[in-house]
Amino acid sequence: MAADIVVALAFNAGLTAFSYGVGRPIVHAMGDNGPAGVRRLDGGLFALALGFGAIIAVYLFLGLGDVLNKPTAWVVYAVAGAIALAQYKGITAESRAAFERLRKLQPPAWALALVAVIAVHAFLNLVGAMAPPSMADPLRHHLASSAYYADVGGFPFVPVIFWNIPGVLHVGYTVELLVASDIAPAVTHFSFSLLTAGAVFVLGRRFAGWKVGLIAATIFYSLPMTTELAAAPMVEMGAAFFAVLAVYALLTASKDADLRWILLAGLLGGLAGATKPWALLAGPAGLAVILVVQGTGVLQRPRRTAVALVAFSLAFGLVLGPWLIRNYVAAGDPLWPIGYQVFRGDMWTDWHFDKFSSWETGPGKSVLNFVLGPWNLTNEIGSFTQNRGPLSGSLLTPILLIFIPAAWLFATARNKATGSLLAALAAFAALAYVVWFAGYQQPRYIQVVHPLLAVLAGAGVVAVSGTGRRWLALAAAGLLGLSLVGTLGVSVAFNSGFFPVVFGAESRDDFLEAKVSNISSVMWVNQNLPQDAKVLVMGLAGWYYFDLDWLVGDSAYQGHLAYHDMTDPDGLVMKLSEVGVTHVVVQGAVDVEPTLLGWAVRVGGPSYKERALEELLTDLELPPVTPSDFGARPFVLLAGLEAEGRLGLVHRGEENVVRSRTFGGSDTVEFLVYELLERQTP
Amino acid sequence: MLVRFIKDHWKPMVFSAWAVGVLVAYLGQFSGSLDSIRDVLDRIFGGV
Repeated sequence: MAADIVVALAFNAGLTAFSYGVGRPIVHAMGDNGPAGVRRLDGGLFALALGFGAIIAVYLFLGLGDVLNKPTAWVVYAVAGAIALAQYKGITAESRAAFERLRKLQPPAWALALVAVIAVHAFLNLVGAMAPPSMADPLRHHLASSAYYADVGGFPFVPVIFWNIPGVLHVGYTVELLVASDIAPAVTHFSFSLLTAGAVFVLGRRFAGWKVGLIAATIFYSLPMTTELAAAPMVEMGAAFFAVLAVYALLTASKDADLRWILLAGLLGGLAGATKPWALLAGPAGLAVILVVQGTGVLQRPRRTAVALVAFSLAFGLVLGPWLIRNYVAAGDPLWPIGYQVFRGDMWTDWHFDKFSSWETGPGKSVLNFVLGPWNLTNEIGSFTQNRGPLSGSLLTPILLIFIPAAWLFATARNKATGSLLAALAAFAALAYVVWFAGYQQPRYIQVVHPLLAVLAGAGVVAVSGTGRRWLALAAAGLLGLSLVGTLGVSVAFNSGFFPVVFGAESRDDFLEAKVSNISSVMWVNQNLPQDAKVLVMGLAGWYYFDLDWLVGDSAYQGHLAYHDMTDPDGLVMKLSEVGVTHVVVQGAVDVEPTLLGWAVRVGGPSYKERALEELLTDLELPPVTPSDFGARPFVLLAGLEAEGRLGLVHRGEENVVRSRTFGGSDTVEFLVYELLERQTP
Repeated sequence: MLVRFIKDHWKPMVFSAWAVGVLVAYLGQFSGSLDSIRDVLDRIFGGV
């Protein structure tokens, strides 16, 4: 455990330094009017982003060529290191000059206090990141897919939802699982959380002054959602980092529509979209920013505006190209399976589509709720988080909602550059909000906008403080201070659960048992089934921790097992034999009778309880009618196999379903492990 | 005089009302979560 942590920290320190080293010559090649000509920290972040993107691109193409393995991963890492080392003199001279400037700074006490707040949050988040992975999404997608890619040495198309786009960070996570440890991806994501805070600072500082930048960075980094995400191997922080720098580049391009900056913004926007599908909205939002920045120039110089829009789009598409082309070639849908409605891609069906398009959170999609969205996201967060309550990690602080309007209300306190910043950020946020509102309305899916909202709120705080009314300035400072104390408390509460395992007071196994739902079934399979077994997993938890060969079995989450085409158990045996499945594990859930038919009833609904197995098997001759039929079908097929003695129960055990990683508590349920007793040669 | 006062101070007044309104609504959503908060505090401080 300790070794894993040290390796993770060392690998990430190298990756960050080498990314800067690789990106630095790219930035210099863009000339003095490009990112090399802006302030050192700003240019450094651009260098880091471009260098990281370049390194990931090399790894991606190695993976697409099926030659991504330990030796090639180390070679690329070493070459990147050599490029950085070759610039040793230049980089150390820059660093020395930067530290010298930092030393001479004489910031006011409040500024130091804000830096201290960020530092405390960062320490807590880093501890959280050093714990074994326990968040559900990484175990199901971000790490599970990366572990698979690391195993097979490439990025084959895998028809499992959310695995289809090996995003920018997924490529990095794959490399880290190959050569470092499974702590490393979370540390990388933590690094991107700090880099995003840095990007927020430089964006605010460049266009509205250092006070706005610092306050904005503090607001962003203290958001509970930042806390929750920064400590886990998610991908949102990478997308946010690239998106913020893309906005910086678009604003710098200004009314002249400097193509260099526009292209840079397109590349960075593309990196954001290639990191998380929901960050694809950086594309249309970026176009909106171009139009806002151009303002009246859109009519006066339409040709220049058109060139800027096309250049941004081309650069954006260039970065996304490899993923889109790979998916289109493999399944006929460049965004498989998100583009199903348009492309009708392979290995996906109307039942899959109906299942996922029926997902919706929030209080509803009325016009009133559209207008009240920001209010509801702040003050009614429970309605967006399946009533898990306001103390979830999706919580926003009231600081955003209170101070963002103030940026406009006290508009006289700002200058022209700030006005341009506010308009651009508002355009980006508004477009992102429209797309988000039309979709599933999961609060995390609009996280890419949070850093920009923090800049708006920072501008609001400074505007309120600059009105010349002392009582108002004190009230603003008091509100901000109270909010920061509260969010620090949330961070302590959230990350305190990780301290024992990171500092050796709790074993890794005990930690996973307390934090990861259904981990007992995963561990039982790992420890008791033969090494050459291949397990069909009927359940959605802890996939990353399966050591044996395994396959997603849920009907809705994958497209490789077409249960809907199987009209009897023979069809299932044939398919399972074809893909080499030897065992089936059915993970437990609350309020489900732990039998195959119990699961059919849970997924299919009450009508499945009223019918005997024979009748359910007879009904398989007809295609599924509803998504519920589609979901219940594999359990009916498996129950048919069990009834015929072709599937034998090997083990029935108990496991926990965790209610909350933060608050603790769990329910005990039963899991089932079966062996396929009869296999057929296809 | 009142008109002049409002003309001079409407922005701070609007902002103050807005801030108080948001704050009250925000804190209101925690009313049902006191047990959860207590659980977390108990865990961190050992039930003190």
